[in-house]
Amino acid sequence: MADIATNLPSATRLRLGAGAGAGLGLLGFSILIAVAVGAVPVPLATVIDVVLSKLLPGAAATGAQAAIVWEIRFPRALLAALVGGGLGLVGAALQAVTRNPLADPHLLGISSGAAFGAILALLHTGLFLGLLTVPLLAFAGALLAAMLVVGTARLAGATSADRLVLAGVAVSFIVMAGANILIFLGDPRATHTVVFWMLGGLGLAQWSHLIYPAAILGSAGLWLWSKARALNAMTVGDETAATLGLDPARLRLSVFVAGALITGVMVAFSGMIGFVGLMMPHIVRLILGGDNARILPFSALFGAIFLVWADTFARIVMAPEDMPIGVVTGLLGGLFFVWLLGRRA
Amino acid sequence: MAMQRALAPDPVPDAPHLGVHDLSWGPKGAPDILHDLSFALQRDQVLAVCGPNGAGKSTLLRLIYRYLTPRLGQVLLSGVDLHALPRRETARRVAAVVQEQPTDFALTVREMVSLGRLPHRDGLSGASAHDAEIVAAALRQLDLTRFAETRFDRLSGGERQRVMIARALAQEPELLVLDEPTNHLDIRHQLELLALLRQLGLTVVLTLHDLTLAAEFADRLLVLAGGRKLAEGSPAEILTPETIAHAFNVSARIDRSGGTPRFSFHL
Repeated sequence: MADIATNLPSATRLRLGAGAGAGLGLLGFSILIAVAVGAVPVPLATVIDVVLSKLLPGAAATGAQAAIVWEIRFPRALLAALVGGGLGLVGAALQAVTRNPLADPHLLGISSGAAFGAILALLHTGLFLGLLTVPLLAFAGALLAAMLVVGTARLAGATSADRLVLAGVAVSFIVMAGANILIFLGDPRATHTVVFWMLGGLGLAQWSHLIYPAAILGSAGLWLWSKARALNAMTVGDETAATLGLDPARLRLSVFVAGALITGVMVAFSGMIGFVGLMMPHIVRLILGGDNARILPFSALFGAIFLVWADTFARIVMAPEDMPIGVVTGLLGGLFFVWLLGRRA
Repeated sequence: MAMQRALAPDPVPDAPHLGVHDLSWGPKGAPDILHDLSFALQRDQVLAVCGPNGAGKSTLLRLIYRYLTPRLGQVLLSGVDLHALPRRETARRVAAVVQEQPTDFALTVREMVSLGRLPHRDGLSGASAHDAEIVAAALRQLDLTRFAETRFDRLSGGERQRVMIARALAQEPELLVLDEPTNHLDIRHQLELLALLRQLGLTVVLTLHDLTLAAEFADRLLVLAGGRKLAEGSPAEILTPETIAHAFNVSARIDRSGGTPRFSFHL
């Protein structure tokens, strides 16, 4: 009778488990490939040697290749996975609470708010809180933008979810204008770096920094996942969610806060990377259906794999120069959007 | 679960199953649109709320299923104030079928019906065998078993309405509230649905536009007009040409020769 202990037939559960295993394996494999390719190609065997030597006590790999693999490419690939995972997850959660399959942190203005906060820290306030200044101000900016979106929708009398995306687009333009003013007023010598950072890039990844996106994605992500069933109810409607014992306005607000937290830290470490949050949940829904208990983790997994490959592409297409990764995701995301339009029409 | 139940106030033995007392509501910063409404409903009775557009029918229902909070007055279930309970506790007693039918998110029928178990479980804890049995029973009761793994958005309007009722039944409520459940259904599906609601053995409050159907299927009728109670009683008492003229501003002729009354309306 074990197979009736869940909503799903046992065969489906088995497939899901296998899918998750395969996805994680693919992610690990993608990271190894990403580490191996680049301006200086490193044989896959050497990559694995270096990883094993770092993970196992005893023999320590040394030399230029080991340094490239371990100090530069590995943290970068892991940051790509964390950022992609975070953006995919936030997109899925936002789509559920706004009941709009087009919602994503970029479109809702949350990324712009994070960029505003990060630019404020980079060009104007200085790192008065140390290394955490940029992520903290990015989170504050993301949170402020999220509250502006919710507030604008409420002010416009659209308490329901349908207008939230429109409010998000409006807030996004306003906040982006503010961010551009900050760049305009900033020190011209520093603005080049900031503009380049805004286009999206993972080139500054360091082992010592990875803990922040990892910790935020782990905690806020698990919290969102724990709300998966409530998010399913939210996709039906606010009234139905209320009759199921939820407080829809409060739940929506908490999801926006968790989304701002994740988006803020991801933007702080990687700049503006759009469309991951829009695309991944769509692809996951096409394959796995609409249950958020599945959509949230698999959107994170797909987002992680996608961004590892997008960053690899960005590194090699104009090697030894890095193409901004936002260009790659923007191009793919725009084409995906066109495909989505055609499919719905 | 037992502990949470123990926290809720005890039911009052002699109270009617549903008691609405002096209920008023209006949107924030605006005057009341529902005025001082009171009525009572006994256990397992079906109450149809009738009235012209804008009479306050949906507002009343939203106050009962706790989407809106009363400005004044109370909604009592077995004497317990529904708005004073924790939200989940209310959701274990009152289920509602509203007019929301989402199609952008690809939930299956079984997943949709399983949402009804939400007030009965915590966080990520998986559905128990007990939950799965209740969902399966609700699917059977509404003849939806063969659609269980079908996506909700692939169903017809009538099938979707049945899924929403199955979801409400999976909540195991004492009181079922339905807003315009016969909307968009053809006549056969309307009759089937109302017959089904009668068989559930639940206390039911629903809004109906069709007075003939209301007369045939409801035990009690509540007629609203302009946010106030115009009449309340059995269909035979209420559905008189005078009340209908008053509520709907039309003249009505009633033919009672065939058992169920038939209405014809004129401007």
